[in-house]
Amino acid sequence: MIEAKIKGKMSYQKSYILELLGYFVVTGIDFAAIYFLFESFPAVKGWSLWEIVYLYGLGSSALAIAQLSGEVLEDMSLIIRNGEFDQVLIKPISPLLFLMPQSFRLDRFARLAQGVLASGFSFYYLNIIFSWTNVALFLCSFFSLIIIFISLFLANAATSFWTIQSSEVFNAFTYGGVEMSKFPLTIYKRWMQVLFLFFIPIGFVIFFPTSILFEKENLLNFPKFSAFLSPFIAIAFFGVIWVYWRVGIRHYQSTGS
Amino acid sequence: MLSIYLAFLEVSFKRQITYRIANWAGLFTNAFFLFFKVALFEAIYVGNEVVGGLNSTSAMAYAGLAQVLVMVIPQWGNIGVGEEIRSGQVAIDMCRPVNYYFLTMSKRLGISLYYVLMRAMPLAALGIFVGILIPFKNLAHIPLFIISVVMGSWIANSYHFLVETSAFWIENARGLKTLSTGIIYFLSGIILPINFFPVWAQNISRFLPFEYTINVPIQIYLGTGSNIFELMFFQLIWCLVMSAQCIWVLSKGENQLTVHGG
Repeated sequence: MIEAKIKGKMSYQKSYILELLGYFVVTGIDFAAIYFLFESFPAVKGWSLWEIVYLYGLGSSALAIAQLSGEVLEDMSLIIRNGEFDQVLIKPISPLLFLMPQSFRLDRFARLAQGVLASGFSFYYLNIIFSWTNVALFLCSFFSLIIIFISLFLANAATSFWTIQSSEVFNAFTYGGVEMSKFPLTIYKRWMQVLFLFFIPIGFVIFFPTSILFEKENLLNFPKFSAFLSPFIAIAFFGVIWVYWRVGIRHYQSTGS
Repeated sequence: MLSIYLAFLEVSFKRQITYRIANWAGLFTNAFFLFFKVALFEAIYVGNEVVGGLNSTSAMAYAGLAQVLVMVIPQWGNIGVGEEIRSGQVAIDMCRPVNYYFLTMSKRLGISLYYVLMRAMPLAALGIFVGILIPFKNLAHIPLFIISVVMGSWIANSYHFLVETSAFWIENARGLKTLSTGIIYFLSGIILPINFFPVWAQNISRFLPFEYTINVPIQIYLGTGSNIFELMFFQLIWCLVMSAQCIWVLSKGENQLTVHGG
């Protein structure tokens, strides 16, 4: 009996170690891709290796926090189909407050760690001084980005009230946004810039604060204070999605039996 | 015998078609990524002529083609083998008078065929329309390209099969999945064309199966591969090696399998 128990524990430990190793290698791979790119090309539109690493670190740590706090919303269609949402609605607290803490998954800390490490190293190599302005610029991006990612999860969840099936329409924006945020907004076509500045403002909250932080000239003709508008833009975006979610709940008809 | 496998292929093809909303959302996401990747390569090539044997047109076409083929030659996601082993369904499938590996592969080819029609074709049309995809230089290469895509898909699916059979031995394969996906994703050339790898990395990659999934079909399309028949020969070798490995691991796993009745 004891032997079986130990064996059972060990098999979990083995997969746990594999999991950590997995994330470790994936981080290394992400980093190698950026490094190889800069072996072939000296710069991306005037942005250097470590500046790109910073963007990567910012994006992954914000996504990790957003996933830790709201990823359960991605399973909304399943929750609705199983009729579990009825149980959520009869709880005396807001459905969001009830659902969101269930997102917590220990392994997401790996992504957070890789993001923090990448940002840390880039700060070191770029000799960024820890002044109030710089810290404010970083926090502006970071928290705005988290709010936008959570809003996108919420938008996906709200859409399931109509589609019932799993709908991944907003995934293009979430994961497309993560992918996009790895490089400066200036490299993209005009329509992509407009999309990520005004409609899904991921580009807005990353590009302006970061450009100011790295003293870039090209701000796409925007004034410098745009950087500090980021949190307001993010909150406004959340507000719109929140209304969409409320309309969704009102539209919700139970599927359970 | 073959007709049984074809029947499984057809069923999985038809089943895939029914997820309509998910399919549209997927196409949308795919198209999105296509534009992003291409924009990136367009931007970095400013001021550069030829890098790693690719000029800016070919590099953009490479990035576009990778997105066209990525669902046909699957690079991530579960192919269902792991769940079937964990749930015990595999025991039923193994009792059937067909080989479980070939059974899975015919289902997977059905899904790939579906993605050819519903994902690759529309994306290729879009790519040609916006001028990203350059047409074939040599029309005689079209059949070779198609064969190469089939072999690439076979290698990629076998790789996922191999990884997921680990469920015979370990309970939670999430870590292994993360690891294996990361490796194929990077070394197949989707994130970054193999041409941009440093020479030492290219030399390592040449002896691994991953670039034979997606990089080789793309090289054949672009006409930039060193020697088409040599590349395809190595693809064939990897098809055989991967199949042999899968069948061997499956026979080992069979001994491991215990099913709790109920």
